[in-house]
Parts: sequence; C-alpha cells; structure tokens
Amino acid sequence: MNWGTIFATAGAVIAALFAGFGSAIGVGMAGQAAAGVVSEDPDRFGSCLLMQLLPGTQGIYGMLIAIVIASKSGLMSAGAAAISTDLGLRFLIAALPIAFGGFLSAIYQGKVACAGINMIAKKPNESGKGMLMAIMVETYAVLALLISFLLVNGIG
Amino acid sequence: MIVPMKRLSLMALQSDEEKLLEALQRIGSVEILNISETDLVSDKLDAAQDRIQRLNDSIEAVKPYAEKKSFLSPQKREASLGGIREDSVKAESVAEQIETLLRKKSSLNSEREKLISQIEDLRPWEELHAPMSSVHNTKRVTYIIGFCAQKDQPALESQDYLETQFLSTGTEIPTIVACKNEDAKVTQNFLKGIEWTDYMFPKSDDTPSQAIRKMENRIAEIEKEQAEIESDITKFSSELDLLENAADAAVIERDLYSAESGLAKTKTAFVLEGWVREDQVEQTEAAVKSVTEAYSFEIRDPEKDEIPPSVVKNNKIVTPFEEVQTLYSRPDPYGMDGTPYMTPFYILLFGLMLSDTGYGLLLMLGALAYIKIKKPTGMSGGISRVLAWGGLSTMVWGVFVGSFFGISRTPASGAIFDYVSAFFDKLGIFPVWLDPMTDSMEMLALCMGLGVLHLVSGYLINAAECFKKGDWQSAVFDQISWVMILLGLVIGFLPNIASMAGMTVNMPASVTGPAQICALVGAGLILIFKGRNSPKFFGKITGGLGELYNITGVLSDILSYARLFALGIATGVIGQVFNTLCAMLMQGKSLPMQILGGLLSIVLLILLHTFNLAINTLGAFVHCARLQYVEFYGKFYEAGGRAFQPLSYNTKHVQVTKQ
Repeated sequence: MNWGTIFATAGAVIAALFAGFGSAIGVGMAGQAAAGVVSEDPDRFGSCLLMQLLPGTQGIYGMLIAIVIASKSGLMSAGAAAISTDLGLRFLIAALPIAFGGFLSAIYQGKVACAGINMIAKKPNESGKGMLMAIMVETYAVLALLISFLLVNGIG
Repeated sequence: MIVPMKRLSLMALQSDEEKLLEALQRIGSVEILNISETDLVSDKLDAAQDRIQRLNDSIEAVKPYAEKKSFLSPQKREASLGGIREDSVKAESVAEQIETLLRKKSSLNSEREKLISQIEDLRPWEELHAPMSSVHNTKRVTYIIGFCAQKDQPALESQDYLETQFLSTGTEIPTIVACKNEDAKVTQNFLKGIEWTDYMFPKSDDTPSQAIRKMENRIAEIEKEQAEIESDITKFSSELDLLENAADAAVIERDLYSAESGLAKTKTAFVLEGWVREDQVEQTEAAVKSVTEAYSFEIRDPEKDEIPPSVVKNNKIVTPFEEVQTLYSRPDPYGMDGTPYMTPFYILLFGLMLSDTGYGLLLMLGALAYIKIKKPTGMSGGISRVLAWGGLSTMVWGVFVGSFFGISRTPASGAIFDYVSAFFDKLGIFPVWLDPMTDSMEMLALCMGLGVLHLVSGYLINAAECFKKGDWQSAVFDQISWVMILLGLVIGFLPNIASMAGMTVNMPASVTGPAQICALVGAGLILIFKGRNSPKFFGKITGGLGELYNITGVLSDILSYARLFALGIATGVIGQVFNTLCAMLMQGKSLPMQILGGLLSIVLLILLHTFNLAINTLGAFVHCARLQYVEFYGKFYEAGGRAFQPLSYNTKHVQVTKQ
C-alpha cells in the first residue's frame, strides 16, 4: 500500500467534495428564492440567475485545487512514480483551506444571495447592491483558494 | 468635480405656465420643488396616472406575442416628442380594446376557478343517483347530509332509529342520514359526538353527476372563449411599439402635471422654486425667455438649511466611473468628487485582478461592441465603458504577468497549449515582469505596494483638501502624519520585510535610518496633536493613543490588497485547468479519437473560457470597487448626497430627439 498516493488522493477528494457540497447548498438555496421571485415577476429572471450563480464559484475553486493536486502528484497518469507519505500528507493538508473555506463561505454566500434576491423582488433597481454584498463573502473563498494553491504549487 | 447648485425662483403668468414648463422639461435642467400649499391632486395628473397604468397593462399583455427585438437593436429607439404624442392618440383606442379583453379574460378566469372548486365539492356525491333537490325534509322525515369519519361509520350504522346511506368509502365518507322528525334532536346530538361534517347540496334538480357534467361543459366553453380572447390580443402585438411610445408620452405628461402641482399659485401668476446647475443657468433663462417676456428669474446661492442635490461633472474618460461612485454613494454637495482620483486606480487595479491578455482583449472588444450597438445610457452605459477601460488594462497586465487565455510561457497544460507556450517563449515578450505561479512572493509584494500607494494617495488627497480649506492642522496632524508612518515603515523596514518573504533587498542604512525616524516623527505627531481639540486634559492624551491604535486598521487595509493577487491567480489557474482538461481530450489513443476530441475541445474551450471571463469580470468589478469604497474613499470621501432629479423626459422605451 502506498500511503503517499492515498493521502494525495484524499486531498484532491476533500477539496472537490467539500467545496462542491458548499456550492450545491448555496446555489440550491438561492435557486429556491430565485424561483419564488421569478414566479411573481418573470422579468427578474436575469438578475436572479446571476445571484443564484454567485455561490457556485467555490465548487469550481475546489475542483481546480483537486486537479492541480491530481496532476502534481501524478494521479491522472497511469504508471507515474509513487510519491512519499510526507508529500502525500502535504497535499492533503494543503487542500484543507479551500475545502472548508469554500464549504462555509458558499453556504453563507448562498444565504446572502437569498436575501439579495428578496431585495430584487422588492427593489429591482437595487440589484447591483445585493450582488456587491454577496460577492463580499466570496473574498474568503478566494483567499482560501490562494493559500491552497500556493501550498500545492510549492510542493515538488 | 462637484457642480455648484443655484436656487431658482421663477415667477410668471399662469397663461404661460404650461408652455414654460414644457420648455424647461425639454432642456431638463431644473429640479422643481413642491411649494404648493394644497395637497390636492389635480384631475389631469390623476388621468395621466391612469393612462400610464392602462398602457403598461396593455404592453404587458401584448409583449409575449410581439416580435422579439433584434439582438442588435439599440436599447431605446429614437423618436420625436410630436411623434409619440400623435401615437398616444391612436394608442388610446388600442389600449381600451385590450383593456376590455383583459377584463373579460379575468372575469372568465374567476368563473372557471369557481366552477372547478364546485366540481371538487360535488365529486364525492356522484354515487347519489337521485336529484339533489329530492333530498329535503318532509312532514315526517328529517334528512341530514354530511361527511362521516371512517372510524365512526360502525357507530353511526348501529343507531337503529336512523336510516343511513354511505355513498362511497375512504376516510371521509359522504353520508345521508334520515330520521323521524321527533328523533332529529337526538340525531343531531349524536352527530356532534362523532367526527361529522355537515354538507349542503347546491340548489339544483340534477343529480350530482349531471351537475358535474354541466359544469364541465361550461368550463370547456370558457376555455374556448379564453382562447379566442387570447388570439384577439395576439392581433394587437404589432401595435407594441405604438403602445410603448404612448406610455412614454404619458410619463412625460405625468411628470409635467406633477411638477405643475408643486407650484405656488395666485389667480393670475405662479411661482416656481427649484434647483439649477450653475453651468445651466443661462441656458435655463434662455428657455424661459423663448416663451415669454413677462417673467422674473431670480438666482441665488443655497442657504444653510437648504441641502442642494449632488451633481458631478468630469471629462470624457472619468465620467463613466461616476457610476461606480454612485453605486457607493453620491458625494456630499459641499464635499468633493472622488471620481477623478479613483479612475486611474480603478483601471490599474481592475486589470491586475484579471491579468490575462486574451481575456482583456475579449472584454474590451465586447464592451466596445455593446456600446456601439446597444447605445446604452445611464448606469449600463457607464458600466460598459468602465469595463472597456478595464479590458484595456487587463490586456497590459496580461503581458506583464505573461498569460494569454490561461497559457503562460512555462508549458503547463499539454497538447497544443504547450506549443503556444513555446511560441511565446521564443517571442520573448512573455512575461516581462513576473510569473505569479513561480514568483508568488514578488507578486504579493507588488499588490501590497500598489495598496500602500493607493492608501497614501487617499491621505494626501484629504490633506490637500484640508489645506484648501485653510485647516493646516488637520492636514499635517491627521493626514500627513499617517503618510509619514506608512512610507517610513515601508521604506525603513523594506530589507527586513523582504527577508521574511525570502527575498533580499539591499538598501543603504542612509535611507532606512531617516525613513525609520520619519515614521517615528509621524507617530509622535499623532500622539501629541490628535487630541488637540479635546476640551479635557485626559481627552488630549487618549485621543492620540486611540488614533495610533488605528495602525492595525491601516495594516489590515494593506493586507486587503492581497485580493488583487488572489483574484488574478484564480483567473489564470482556472483558465489553465480548463486548457489542461481540453488537452487531455485532444490526446486520444487513435487518430479518430483525437479529431473527435479536438472538435469537442474547441466547443468546450469557447464555453469554458467565456464562463471564466464572465465570472471573474464580475469578481474583478466588485472587488476593485470595494478597494475604492473601503480602503480609498475611507480616507477622504464624504458620502451622502442625493440625486438631482430635474423635470425632463424620463422615458423607458424611446430616446426623445430634439425635433
């Protein structure tokens, strides 16, 4: 059994998995709110859809780190040299910021997006401000992505 | 630059009133204040309001059937005021016809809903094969109709003084109970003791199933009628433009009447109070003069308790960025306009957040095409111009950091992308400065360095403003002292900071020494003079300490610029990963697979890169705006102005031309 490869795989998995969970929850919540508003006023579809999309980026960030880990540790090519346990663990740990930063920020961003969508329903002209508020939450996902990427990039 | 506002008092004869207001509305330079003593809404205003409502309802009804506007058509079509006024006469009868149809449609709809619920009610009784009117009390027998719960069925059945008929099964069983008149009381009491819900048949000589069939026929008729009405409405779809023009004409008229109701009037004259931009005073008076000679036109500066609206004026490059500022807040009318200072930083920082030559090119061309074709005005017009500038800046930064649609000089993705990388490498233009993937610390330093520059500019702008007002104490002690601290710390400790990041920066002690002293002097200034205005001795001391503690806030401001790097790398890495995925598709085992993969990759690449560009442009726009609002404007900007809302053509569908 090669622990290095297993740890690296685990790292790629939790990055994609948790960030993806978060985005799924966030986009799901925002989607429900958006459907409610659109049922009353179909013209708001565009701005509501944009709001719904916002919590979706964390899932992409997670996938991104997963792919970088997978390609760096040779998981994507058969017959690549096995990596040491140390390296594998480093990949796993480096995946943690985006996994959990992405998970929580996507959920909270989803909540802000819901509130923003309600705002669109009441004051359609203010949709820009609602978007600003939702994107502020994204800051922390981007910072987590930065750290995860720098750490993964620094390995080997 | 903030445009000073003037207070206008115009007095003229009532006979000229409407013409004067029309002239003012045409040039759109006066915000008319409501100084009327009555709150009465004039009939004309009411009628205009109704007309807008009716026209909007008609537009709403017709719109789904109308031809979709071409993707390439501008946001608003051009038309003359006379033209749309003519249209509104024609539109009136169209709107009336549509309104009649809509009313008919909605009354049919409510009838249909009512029938459906009646059918639902009768459905359980279908097994009763006698006319409903036949179930009524006679001289000797009392009938009770209702629903009996399933669990109480045996109990009800076992009462021997009753006749019961259960019409179906289920949890709620439709039941007819018959008893002798003298047992009626006992029966009622018994029914109260079990789960029983009374029911009453509608008055009808039909059996329930006959009644249901009749109602269903009526519903079919209604649906047919509705379809006819719908097709009648469809016929009006060609009149959509007419209706929209008329709606705009009605809005123009409404605004005029609503301004009129704000005037103070005597029997023969009226007084208009309002705000005018200083640079439009002459134009405004000329407009008045063109209508009548009998007027008094007085202009004065606003008094202390009058808060004028906030209007800014800038050159062609800066103007679009006013929308970014407005998104935050308009400037205080007696404060300063931040747009000219914010614009260069916005362009600079936006580009660094996207930093990809390919994306920048696409964004710039897209924004320019949008401006050219759709001719957007207002908020969307401003933002699309901001994005065009941002695209240009993104292109330049892309060259500096060496990224083109996620391809950098170092091969990373495989397949064709590596050839492109090799090509860039050969050209030698990529990257001119630094590759964020390998030189991440240098990149971080660059971002925070730009941040320090941004913050220092903010302090200096405030200091300059204080000097202008003659308040040199605030300028030196509150603003310049911070600049000394910031620059002193950064320059004085540059070698130390660099070594923490694993870089070596050589700086002679003859530079770092004075810089460190400069920072100390700045801190001293704050410590001693910050509390200068505090009346108590205790306040004089703590004021300085409190302000100096703000150093943590300033540090977090600087760290906030790390987002520049983070967003830049997010764009680049996402693009690179998309390329890697497509490279895998292209490297199939056999030639047919490679061709198939190649074709698929082309489609995928277009979709994925468009997505990446869209999501990151949104991010760059917002985060760049945030750096301006919080970090930059926090240093000098006074928010809180209100919008200038002159009487003008506030149209939605039509751009009114001068003619």
